[in-house]
Amino acid sequence: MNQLTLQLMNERARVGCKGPRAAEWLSGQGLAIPAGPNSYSFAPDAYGGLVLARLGSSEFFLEHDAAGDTLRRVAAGIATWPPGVYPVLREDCGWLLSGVAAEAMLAEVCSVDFAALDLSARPVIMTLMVGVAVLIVPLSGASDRQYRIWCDPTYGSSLGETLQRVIVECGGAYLGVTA
Amino acid sequence: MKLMVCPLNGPRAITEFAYGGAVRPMPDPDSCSDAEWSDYVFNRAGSPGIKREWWCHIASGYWFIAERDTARDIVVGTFPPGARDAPA
Amino acid sequence: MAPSRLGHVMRRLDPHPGEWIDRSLPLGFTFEGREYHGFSGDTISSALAAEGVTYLARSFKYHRPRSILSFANHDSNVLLCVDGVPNVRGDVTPLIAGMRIEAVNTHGGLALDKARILDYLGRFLPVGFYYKAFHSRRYFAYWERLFRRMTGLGQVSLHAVRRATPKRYGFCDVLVIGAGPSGVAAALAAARAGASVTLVDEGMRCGGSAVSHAPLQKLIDEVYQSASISVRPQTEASGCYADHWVALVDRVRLTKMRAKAVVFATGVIEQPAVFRNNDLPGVMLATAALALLSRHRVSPGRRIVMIAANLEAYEACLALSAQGIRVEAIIDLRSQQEALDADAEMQNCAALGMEILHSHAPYRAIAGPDGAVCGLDYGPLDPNLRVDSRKLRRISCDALLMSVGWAAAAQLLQQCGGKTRFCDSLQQFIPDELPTGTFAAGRMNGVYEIAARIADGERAGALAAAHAGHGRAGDAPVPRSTRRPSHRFPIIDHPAARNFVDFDEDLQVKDLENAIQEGFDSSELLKRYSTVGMGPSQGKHSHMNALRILARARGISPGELGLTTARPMYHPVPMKYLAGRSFHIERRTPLDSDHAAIGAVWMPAGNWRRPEYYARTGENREQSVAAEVRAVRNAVGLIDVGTLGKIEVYGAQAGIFLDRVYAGRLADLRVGMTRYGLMLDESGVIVDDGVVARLGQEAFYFTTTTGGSATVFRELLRLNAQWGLDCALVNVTGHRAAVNFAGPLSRDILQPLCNVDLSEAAFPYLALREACVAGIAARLLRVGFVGELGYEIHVPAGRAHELWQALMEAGRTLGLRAFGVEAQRVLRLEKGHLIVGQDTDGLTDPIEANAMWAVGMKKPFFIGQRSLKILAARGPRQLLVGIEISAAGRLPRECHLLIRDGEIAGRVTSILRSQTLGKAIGLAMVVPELAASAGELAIRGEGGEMIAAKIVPTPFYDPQLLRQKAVTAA
Repeated sequence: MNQLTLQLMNERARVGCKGPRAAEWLSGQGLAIPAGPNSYSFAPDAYGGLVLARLGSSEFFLEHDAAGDTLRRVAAGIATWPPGVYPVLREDCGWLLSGVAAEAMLAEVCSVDFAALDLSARPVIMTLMVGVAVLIVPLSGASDRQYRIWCDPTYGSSLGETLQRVIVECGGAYLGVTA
Repeated sequence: MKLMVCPLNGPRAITEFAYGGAVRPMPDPDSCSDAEWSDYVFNRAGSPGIKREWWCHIASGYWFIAERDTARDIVVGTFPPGARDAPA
Repeated sequence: MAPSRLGHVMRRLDPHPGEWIDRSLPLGFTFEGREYHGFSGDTISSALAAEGVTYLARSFKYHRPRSILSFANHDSNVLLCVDGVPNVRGDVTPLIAGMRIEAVNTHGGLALDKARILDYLGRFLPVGFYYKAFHSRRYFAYWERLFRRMTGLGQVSLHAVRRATPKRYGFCDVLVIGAGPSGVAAALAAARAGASVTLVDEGMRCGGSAVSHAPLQKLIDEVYQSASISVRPQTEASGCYADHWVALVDRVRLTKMRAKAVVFATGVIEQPAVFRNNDLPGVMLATAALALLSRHRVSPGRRIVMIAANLEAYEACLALSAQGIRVEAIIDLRSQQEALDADAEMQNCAALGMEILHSHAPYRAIAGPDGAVCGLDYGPLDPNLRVDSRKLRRISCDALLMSVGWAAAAQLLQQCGGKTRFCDSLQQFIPDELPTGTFAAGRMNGVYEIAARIADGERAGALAAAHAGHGRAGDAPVPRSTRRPSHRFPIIDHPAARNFVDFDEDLQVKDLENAIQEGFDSSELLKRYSTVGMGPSQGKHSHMNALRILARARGISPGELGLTTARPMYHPVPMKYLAGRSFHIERRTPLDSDHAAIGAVWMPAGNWRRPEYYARTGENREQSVAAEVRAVRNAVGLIDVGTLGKIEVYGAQAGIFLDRVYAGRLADLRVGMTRYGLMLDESGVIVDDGVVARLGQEAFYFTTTTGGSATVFRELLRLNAQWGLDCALVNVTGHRAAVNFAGPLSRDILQPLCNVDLSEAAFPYLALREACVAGIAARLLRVGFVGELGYEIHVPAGRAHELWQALMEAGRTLGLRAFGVEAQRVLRLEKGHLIVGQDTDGLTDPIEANAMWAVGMKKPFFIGQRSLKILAARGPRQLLVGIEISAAGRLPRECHLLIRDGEIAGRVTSILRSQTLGKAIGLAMVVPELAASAGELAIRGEGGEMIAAKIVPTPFYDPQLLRQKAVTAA
């Protein structure tokens, strides 16, 4: 197994919404709403699972394999402007960072102690990575942790080049786009 | 580098935050005098002591109230904006 | 190997259990061109000493020969150039095979350094010499050239290869600084309580300076076995910052360690005695001799004299003797009565044949023919701590060791806000007030006996763990030592001086006394004037003695003077460690590669990169810009405006929110329409502008300036949190791409791509439509920024490339050109539109900017309204006006001044030559009288020439706005 790999995840489907009734509405769509702020729910399915991240208390970010149709349905629903549910356009750039050396690599670009995170609480981390605001969803892998890192797409190419350089210097591999 | 405890995101390095100025009640613009208004707009208390300030966690865009003791350079406490009448 | 003549020669002894060197791994290296050998486990200094090399360095000022003094990372004279890298510390740098080592600060080599003449010219180099030399402007250049040639330690290679040295963040519950007995015990105690511990020490191994001690060795073994202790030898804690943030420097990188609690077990630094020629090679601290002997098996000499003032001196003599090193005599500064704390050790020393002389002191060390120490003149010490020079006796020796006292290594503790006080009985500064979460232990804390040091470490470690949330701990203090480990004044006057206080800077007792006499009589002033403690060792072996000299001169205690501020870094740190990787993050729009493909020439705009113009073969910059402008005026142009801030606001009170934050009225904006918006701050100054569109009854979409997008959005979030209105903000700046498609042909080209009716009746000027363009869901805004019929098209970032290609293709045969920021600046200036931050500054209000048409003063409230009322009553101090220059020749530039009657009457804010209009046009901020006069005026240009200009109305181009409203569209 590779110690450290970085994959681009821009092909995944991403949807966002916020508003006083967003939680209620998403729940009505049959989605599991994370109980606390800055946490996520993970619904395993044939497409590798759907991540529903709660950002603060009333904003949500959902991401799923592009082949799945759940997010298409959710996006179409949000576009009808249900009362108290506001669309949040999510065109984020995303990377999947994995490998047992992931925390050591993150320690070169981010001041949050990822090794100390309790993944059973399914935390969502909003922080700065080399000065860029990122949203990080850590998931438990088979033998390591996998970090899904999302950022504003206009920072994507520059941050991606930087992460790629750091990964390689840390002895890891950049795998390009997810297969 | 200092730490600040964001009520939403927990303790983070101070570089993750932006300062948003002191929490200041605005005088009623319709009834206050020009002098009162100017005082509100232009004058700030810079003397060391407990300051009640707006701070923003940049990555999440979350604003909250922080109380800092500028004489001792410590963050006394942080509160969600709704709780800005929390104990001083 | 040893020469036959008597002199100071160190040499390697036979193997001994516990030595650090590996004799099976000999390492060859060169020093000053000669070949030498050491062993794996040697430092550069120990290897050279073992080879009998007497001179390791020349001193900074007088170029006196120097060798090992502390052997503990404070041998700041022995800075070497190793394989081209300057400032390498010989005493602590591990020897590596093949090293090419050169001395620095010599003129013609170490042995024959021509600059040693300076040692005889000392009286022409008084204290404060630099200040005195540079006092006269007349000779400034002369002295500067001389000093630049004569001073400095080594040379920086200008051809060094840049190697990125990544910094790293680190985390632990408890950081223990110093792995001596108390640090090791603290780490164990904290780990036992359940804390994750990092234990750092600048030395190669745990144990600190303590020599073999069985219980300590057991603790060290436990430390290495503990899974929750990370041991990091050869790692310096270089700086302590707020909230337990400590810079750790090892031989690879800087780690920014965030601990929950810190234990300072930093120990004490042995201090030299001050007497004439105390800097000769062969004069060294007792701890240095012991470390050389026990770790590297280098004998400090064969006939040793110890200068003593504490128990440790006798312990050192016994340790040396146990390893077969002969100690001739012990010269104890203290009386027999004062030395009773070492009574047993004294008797043992005497029994071994060492001559012990109480109340005696060194007067001067004698240099042998090789320049190293060969003897000592000493004499009885009177109660005023002066040696009677008529009663001197001489003893020959080849090494002179000093064990007279210690200084607490409290620098790091002070950096994080710890306070110290001077303890008279210990003659040492000890921690007084410790900041929350920091703990001190061991000798730095005034606890000297080894069992007590271990107990003190356990106490501090348990407290630190408890502070970090692991276990509980009582705070029963470990009593401080009652004996006196440091002499109160180990400093002996000599009329001929060369009694060095600071070896870094060659400062002698008289230098400090002269400085004090000249009035620099506080510790901070004395430090700056004399430069004591400002050399590479930062006062680690000079600060306490300097303080004692100053205290004596002023008749007070060192405690009343206090320590000078010890700033980071604790030891010098290579600059590359601080530079780290140097990240440069640039923001790029989703169309970045589309721009690159057609020759974009980039310019920075805030943290964005944007095309300034698109280069084409056969065109220079001006021609390209002019052609791009022509395309927009005559056919159609396409610009990426994705850098604009793009914000949505939703909710029942969204309109109320916007009415408060924008100066203009927005709550009454009809769905499907847009309006220009001006944002002010509380003082009424313009801070941003943009276009506000109403998507629905409870949904708005608006743009901000490129530069203001992040700060405006953040401030709007704050206001929303403060006001608590029923609305929510969404920043889609990066998630939504935007282009402006403008020019007389724009509608005709766009219509076939678009599923809504673009006709004037169906989609008028300033309207908004949600539509499908080239199959992409888009927001279309009829805008007029560049003064032609045009559409801003906003699409999700992921579809921007498709949109751009579709538009480029559709206009390919119809004269379409992509245009950059420069062409847009020309186009907007022809329309007289201001740019916030360029034509306005931090004091410009809408009255002055002629923008009151965009302000709804009758609204109940908006930010800046109250201030505007005051400003309106006062009247403007300046006004933004259009200017034109008809004459050819060099144009004035932005910020050049308007002059009237010899007085400044305004300044140019924008200016350029318009090909469209055939003249130069601009905007200027001018005094109101001038604005009203509408007459001729003069601008002072680049070279001071006066350029005639006149005030004209704006817009310069199409003043009736017929083109952007498409009134005359054929």
